[in-house]
Amino acid sequence: MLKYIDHPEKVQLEIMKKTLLVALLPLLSSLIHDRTIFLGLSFGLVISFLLFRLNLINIRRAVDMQKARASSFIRNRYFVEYVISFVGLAVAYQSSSLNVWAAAAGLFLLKITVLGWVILELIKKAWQDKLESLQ
Amino acid sequence: MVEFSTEVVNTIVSAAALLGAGFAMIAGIGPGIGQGFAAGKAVESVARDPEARGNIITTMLLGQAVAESTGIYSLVIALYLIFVVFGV
Repeated sequence: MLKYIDHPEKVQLEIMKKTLLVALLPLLSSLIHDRTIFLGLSFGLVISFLLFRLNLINIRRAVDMQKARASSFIRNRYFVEYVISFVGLAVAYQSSSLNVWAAAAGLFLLKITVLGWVILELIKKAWQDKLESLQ
Repeated sequence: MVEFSTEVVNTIVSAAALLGAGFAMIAGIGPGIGQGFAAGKAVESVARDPEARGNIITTMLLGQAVAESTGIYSLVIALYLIFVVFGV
């Protein structure tokens, strides 16, 4: 991730790939066990991917604005994204073919992947620094 | 000791669930304010160093993605209280 830090699209694509990799096992196991969990998880993942993409578009637009306008723009867009998340979860609850907890897990999976990835990178960097200092 | 009928107890539980959902939604406001503040600072940073634009956007994207999760936690709790406890 850190090598592509100047290219947000590449970082975004890589995060999405990693999230799909993390979600592969739950998706496959839920496909065998319970189809509603599979559909709920896929639904949550699709919503989180689209919101993530929307986030980048909004940030790109905000960076070219004035400071006060950018603040209010990002704040308003956050609340729009919040409403979209609410609608997604409410639809998952109302629909009998979607598991609402799996949809919530799908929404969280991207954020958990980002956190886990960054923690792993930090551990890797600390380990390399320690090895270099020993040498 | 005063004893309440089941209907009264159920009404109190439902009212408490709805109140709890309302309080949980307060947690959704914080990330919005924080993200707005971060966006303002990002604009300042890009104006100071235009070459670091990509770096700033990436950092902000990752930060916002993680900051949003607390808001979604509160949303899930509020939905649980409304749909499961209150039983809409």
